[in-house]
Amino acid sequence: MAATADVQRRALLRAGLYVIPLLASARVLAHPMPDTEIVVGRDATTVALDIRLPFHDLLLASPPGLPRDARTLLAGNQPSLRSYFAAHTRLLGPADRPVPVTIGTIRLHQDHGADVGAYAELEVRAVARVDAHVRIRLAYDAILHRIANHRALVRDHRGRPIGTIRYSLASRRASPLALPNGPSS
Amino acid sequence: MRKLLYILGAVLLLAGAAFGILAWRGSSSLARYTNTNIHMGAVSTAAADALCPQTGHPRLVCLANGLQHGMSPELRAQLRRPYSAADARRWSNFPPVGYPDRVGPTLGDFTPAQLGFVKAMPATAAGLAKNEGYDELEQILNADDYLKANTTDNAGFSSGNFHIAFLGTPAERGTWELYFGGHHTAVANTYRDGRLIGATPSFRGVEPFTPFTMNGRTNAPMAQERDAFAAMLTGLTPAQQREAKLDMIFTDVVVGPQRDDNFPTTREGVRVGSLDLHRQQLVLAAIDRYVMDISQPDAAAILRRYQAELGDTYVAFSGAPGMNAENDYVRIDGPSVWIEFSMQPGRSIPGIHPHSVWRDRRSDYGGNG
Repeated sequence: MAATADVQRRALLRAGLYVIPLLASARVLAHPMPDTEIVVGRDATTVALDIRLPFHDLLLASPPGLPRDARTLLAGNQPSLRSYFAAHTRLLGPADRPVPVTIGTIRLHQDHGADVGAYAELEVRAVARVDAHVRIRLAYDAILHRIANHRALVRDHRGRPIGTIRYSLASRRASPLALPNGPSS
Repeated sequence: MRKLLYILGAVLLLAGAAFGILAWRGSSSLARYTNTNIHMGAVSTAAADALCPQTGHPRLVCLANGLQHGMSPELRAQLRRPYSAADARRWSNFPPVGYPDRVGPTLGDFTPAQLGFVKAMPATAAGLAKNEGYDELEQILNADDYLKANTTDNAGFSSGNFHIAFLGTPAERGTWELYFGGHHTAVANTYRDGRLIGATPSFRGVEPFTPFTMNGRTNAPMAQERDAFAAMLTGLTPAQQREAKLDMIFTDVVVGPQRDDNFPTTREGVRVGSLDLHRQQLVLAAIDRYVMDISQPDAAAILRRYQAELGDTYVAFSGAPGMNAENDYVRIDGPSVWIEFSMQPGRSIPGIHPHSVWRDRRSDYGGNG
């Protein structure tokens, strides 16, 4: 009985500790429109990037000839979309050594936001094997390489901001963003 | 010990909930969105005019005092805040649901008598030129009333949701900013010792863009800006257009809200100093559409400064020069002046709608940004 109470007490404490950041980030975790949002998760051996980006802006930025309809595009062009994101999503290790990134399945999310109206987003997951203690930088410029005002807002898995990646009109590139080390480093 | 842990857990939960709610609502937690259409054109400023017959800054100070006379302490505390650059940066093009962090009470918080003083303040600061200054602002408020009346979007459209705030104390001495803003609107006039030291950032946008009838009038508040840019760009020779053409796509302005540090360090496009006098005048006419959102004689002084710098000012655009289609974009970038105009798809109704920002590289936020 005492053990059960102890488990309940620990669960309550854990819930309290988890609820604070979740609630605090309730607003920032709403849809990222009109920008891209990248949520970074790191554990002992991997880094995962959950990318949400506006479909409309992707169409503007991608090469002509692709289907304009989101479902058609996703159904028939997963390999070329994955190639696009692989070319524009790079992780740089020490001495800017490239870290191989795997682009997973690309999904469509359609919704309605009171401030932006109906919208469609693509959800992309990129994963790389990187030890938690290794310092890495994210070089990301999907959409940004064509749409100058577009930004990628980068957050950790609790919604806390890590930084913003934006295209610089001066340098004509998007500067890489340093990512925090993993939890066990 | 067990009880202590329970209490700690409960306190953390409550604190988390409270913080989360505050974060969701934004730190302007006192803002009350009534979602009511006010019809600002029908609000009388007779009492304000009678009390404050002055012009310029003395009139603004008089109006600010008249507005606060008899006001509840709670409302006054929202209206008048200490001057800070951090608060000055809290503006946006989004409606309240998209950006709930604006400062100051909303127009829906005021009595009809107080609204007369509220209306008189941007009218005094922005001037009364037709389709510019206060007239342009009122038409943008009418656009929000139109969206409230004609769409089912729950974004917080309506003139009653626009904010006014004094950052600092309106007085003959000291620094203060008159802020007036809401969906598609930011007025940020900074004064020091009775003198206008910053008229920017100044944001305007409107949906619907095509002329619409609301609150007893026809509204087309930004048609003049679009027309001035179209005249400026179509007036360039093909070679000059090629020089002015940007190779990137612009779906919105670059130095928008919360992007104060986003000015490019190198200027792009065609140098106005290389154009003939007629074409230079077309550039100046486009700039004038923005400077005229400030009352005289300040507007004339600002325009003289921009005219003196015209030779080192650049014009650049993306899309088509008619500025009439989605993703058409134009920029005027000088040693001081920075103006962007971006045509975007309709968000709440079909069609297109513009966003536009006027900034000054030297005097944004009165140089305090």
